[in-house]
Amino acid sequence: MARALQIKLQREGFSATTVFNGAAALEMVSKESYDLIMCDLIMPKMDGFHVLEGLRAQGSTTPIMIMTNLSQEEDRQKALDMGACDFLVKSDTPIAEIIARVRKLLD
Amino acid sequence: MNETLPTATAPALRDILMPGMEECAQPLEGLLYLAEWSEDLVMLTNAQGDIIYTNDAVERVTGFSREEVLGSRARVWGYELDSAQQEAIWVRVTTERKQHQATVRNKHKDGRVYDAEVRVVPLVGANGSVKHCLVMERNVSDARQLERAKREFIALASHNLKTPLASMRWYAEMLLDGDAGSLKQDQREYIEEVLQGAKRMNDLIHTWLSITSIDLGTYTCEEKRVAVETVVERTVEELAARAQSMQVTVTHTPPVSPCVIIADEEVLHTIVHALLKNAVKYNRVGGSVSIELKQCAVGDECGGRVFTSEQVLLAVHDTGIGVPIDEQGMVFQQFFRGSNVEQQQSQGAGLGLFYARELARLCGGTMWFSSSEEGSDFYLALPTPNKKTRS
Repeated sequence: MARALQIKLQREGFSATTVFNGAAALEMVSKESYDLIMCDLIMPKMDGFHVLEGLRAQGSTTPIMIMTNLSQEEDRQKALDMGACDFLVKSDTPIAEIIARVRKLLD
Repeated sequence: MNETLPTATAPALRDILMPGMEECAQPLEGLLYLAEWSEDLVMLTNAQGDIIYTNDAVERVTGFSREEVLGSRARVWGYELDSAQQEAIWVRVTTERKQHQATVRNKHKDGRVYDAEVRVVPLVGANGSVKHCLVMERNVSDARQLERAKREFIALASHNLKTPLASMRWYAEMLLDGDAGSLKQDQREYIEEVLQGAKRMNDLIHTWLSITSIDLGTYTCEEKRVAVETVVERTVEELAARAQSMQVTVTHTPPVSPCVIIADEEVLHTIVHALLKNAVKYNRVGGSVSIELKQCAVGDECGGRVFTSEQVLLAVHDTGIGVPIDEQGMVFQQFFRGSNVEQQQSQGAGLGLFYARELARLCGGTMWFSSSEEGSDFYLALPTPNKKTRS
């Protein structure tokens, strides 16, 4: 589904790169700068909460949008408390709305 | 239960106290006698913090024998605390005579670390100074592990079941948006079907996981003051298109005064949505739904019930097909679908009302109904803020 989002973002004029685990995400962000990071919570090797922690420890100020299928209020609150700027439940959110939120965050 | 406790145990307590502390047995005999029956670790210290008594549970909880523990200094408030922090807690208990209660990490004799709930209670003598401290410790590692396992189950089930659906949904939406080229009319219709199916499955999984979460005791709510009226209006708007497609008229009588409760707004929305959706969905073409919201005082009678406390009442009356009388006892059961409904509607899992009532219970509320061939009346009563009790 990361591929679906990447295709859609590219069609909407954004440049998007994907990685498939938290550790790879941290490594990428340490090498290159990005305008926005879109991150799941459940991922191999390192989950999204640890990615949030790692990014902040690296001093990254890049906005982070959490996209997950965990819909419990405590997950949302925890992610926002850890510095995520947006939180959405993937299966409840039309892809067009995700693009709209991305535009809003990057405006 | 009037059970005679074995008399042999009480005198034996004198033998398990630290030598020289036998005089403690007299005033504390009853307490220590009970401690011998406890599954939790119970210890008694002198005013200096030296352990002068411990019950049988010590070996099971800490791995240390009675003999090893007696005479040593109580350090049950967590091995991770340094000696200065431990001393500070001790001073607070003995000097300020305050109970200390905490969940800590302790170390078993074999090196295993375990979570423990600890309580230290100062026992004050006749002269007003602390004479002994009662220390109680419960190993909660298993309970915590179980709690973690429950949460992980919900999280993984949610992730693994919903992720493929989200993928289907997004690709279907991209196809409908023309991202892979224009579609013929019949191709568009088929993909619409895929999209609607994915959404229905997503709703079903969400409901099922929420019910499981309630069952496991891991469901979390964010409670605040909520104007029920606002939630009702929002839900009526959401269902307007559906009602219109069935030519069902929805009317709403606003309350005389604001109806405010303490609840999770989204939970309340789910309950109200389930009631109103059913009233529309199982209505007749050209039928009606009327919604009544009001504050009920003690002694008021509504929906066949007399209120014994102040409640906010939402009543939903419909002119639908009703629930057959011999099936009415099953309406709030999981997977129940009326036999008259099954003949007309193919879609529905029979979880909506069950889920709504479980959520209403979480909010401290109750739900009931009456029904005939002319329609049904569903009632939701929720406690007002100062009267809230969990049922």
